[in-house]
Amino acid sequence: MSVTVTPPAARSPLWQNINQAATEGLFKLPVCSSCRQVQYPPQEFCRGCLAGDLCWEEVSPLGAVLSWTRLQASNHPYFMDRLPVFTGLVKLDCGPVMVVYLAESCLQTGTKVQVTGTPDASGQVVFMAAQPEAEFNDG
Amino acid sequence: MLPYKEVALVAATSLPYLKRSEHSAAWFIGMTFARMLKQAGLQKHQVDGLAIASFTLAPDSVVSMTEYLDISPRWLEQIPMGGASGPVAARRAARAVQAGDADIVACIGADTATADTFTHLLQNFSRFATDAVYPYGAGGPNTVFAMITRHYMEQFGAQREDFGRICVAQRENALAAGRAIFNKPLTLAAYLEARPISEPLHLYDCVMPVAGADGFLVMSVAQAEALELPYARLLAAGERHNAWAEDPVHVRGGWSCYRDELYEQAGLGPADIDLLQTYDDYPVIAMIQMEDLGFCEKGAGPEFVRSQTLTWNGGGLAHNTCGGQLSAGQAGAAGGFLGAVEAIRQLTETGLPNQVPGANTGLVSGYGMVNYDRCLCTSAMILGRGGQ
Repeated sequence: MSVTVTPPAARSPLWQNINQAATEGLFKLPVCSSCRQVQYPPQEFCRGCLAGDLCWEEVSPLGAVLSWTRLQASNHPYFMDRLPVFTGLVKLDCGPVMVVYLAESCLQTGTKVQVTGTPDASGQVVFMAAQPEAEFNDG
Repeated sequence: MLPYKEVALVAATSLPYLKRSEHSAAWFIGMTFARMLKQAGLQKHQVDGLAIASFTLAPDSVVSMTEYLDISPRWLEQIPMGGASGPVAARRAARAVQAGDADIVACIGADTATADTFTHLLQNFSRFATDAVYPYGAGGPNTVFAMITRHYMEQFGAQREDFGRICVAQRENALAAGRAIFNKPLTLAAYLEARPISEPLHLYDCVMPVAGADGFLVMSVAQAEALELPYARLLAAGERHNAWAEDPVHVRGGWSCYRDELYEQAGLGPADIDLLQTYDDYPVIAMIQMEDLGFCEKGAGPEFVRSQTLTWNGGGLAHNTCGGQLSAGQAGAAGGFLGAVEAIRQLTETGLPNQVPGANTGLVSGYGMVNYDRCLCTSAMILGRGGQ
């Protein structure tokens, strides 16, 4: 029996909130109840004011490309057959910088993008940045 | 701040790097310790302090090492700072010696490289990396530093040739030093034509993970002189972590926060530094260190490397004189000690094949720990030629 290779599945417990939001089609990140700072990657307390209670809230998925790379060597067997992979750094309008998969149409610094979370073949959500959907175009 | 100047660094010691090893990190630490003692003419029980940096020592720690080495130190330190660990170890050990908490401290960075240690390390490097970087192609630090490199190129007009100059000069240094794993000449043409890894990074921009160890002893200048050991004097040291977090992409490191203080402590300026050992996980990071440590202005790195030979014997600033990790490979946390041992060697030994002519001062810089989208730890120290 052949073993199906899946992408890396390990995540921290907090990631379940991201998976849950994605099943609802929502882009949610931890937001500080006190100072409203948006946190990414997810952490358990506010990096700004150090408040201990964060709420998972819907935030704007819009941002701009800061940089990107065309990855042609991977350390994981799942990706070795799927190269190249395009990865970007996106500065979200709501604050944080995200490492994301980047659509090939967006391989330019400054490109406005929308980030969407979708489960990959491991069942864990990964984020993809692409041109904003129509409803966000005027946003 | 209390000056460091009565502290000596001696007995720079290296185990030859290996592409793979079935030995544990503990073995590399043990063999380095043994060599270091022999070089300094000491018995193991004379060492009363031990500082270790290693990614692959777990589940053991510096504590386990006391039992393996059968020593009973009165001062222990483990430094989880990867590429910044060498100067940080020297700094911590220096303070222990000055305070009288230890007389002779062995500082060792060591890591093994079995078939799966590197993959395991990448996958579990930090919580942020596991959640938010590794799933995107599992490129490891190449992904992050490719994006930092592209941003730097777009911001400051650096060309691949500029990074190539650093890599080619380092290979020339490595060939002279004769200790590096990569022992074939590298031309700029070969650098430019190498296969892409994570564009704009290509093969020779990336370090190869290897097994190995480097270390040195820290003691008072009086102690080194009593033992009749050649020593390098610690003139200044600093560290800073998670600096410039507000920069959306990494373009400057913590060095810029303390470089003025560093030069003031040493009573020297950048123009007085004979040899610079930067942490070269990627050439853009070496360039950023040249800027942040005051050898040129921010953004003038490309122009600076065009104006220098960067080789051990080219005159001007000698840079990464043993070839750095780009030629020697990256032996985990030992990579954070490579610049330190090379600088100590240059300032204490004679007859080195790559001896920088007339070198009396060296600056060693460290950089480590990609928690998410950049390394968080920076360190630096200035050394001067001591007596004996």
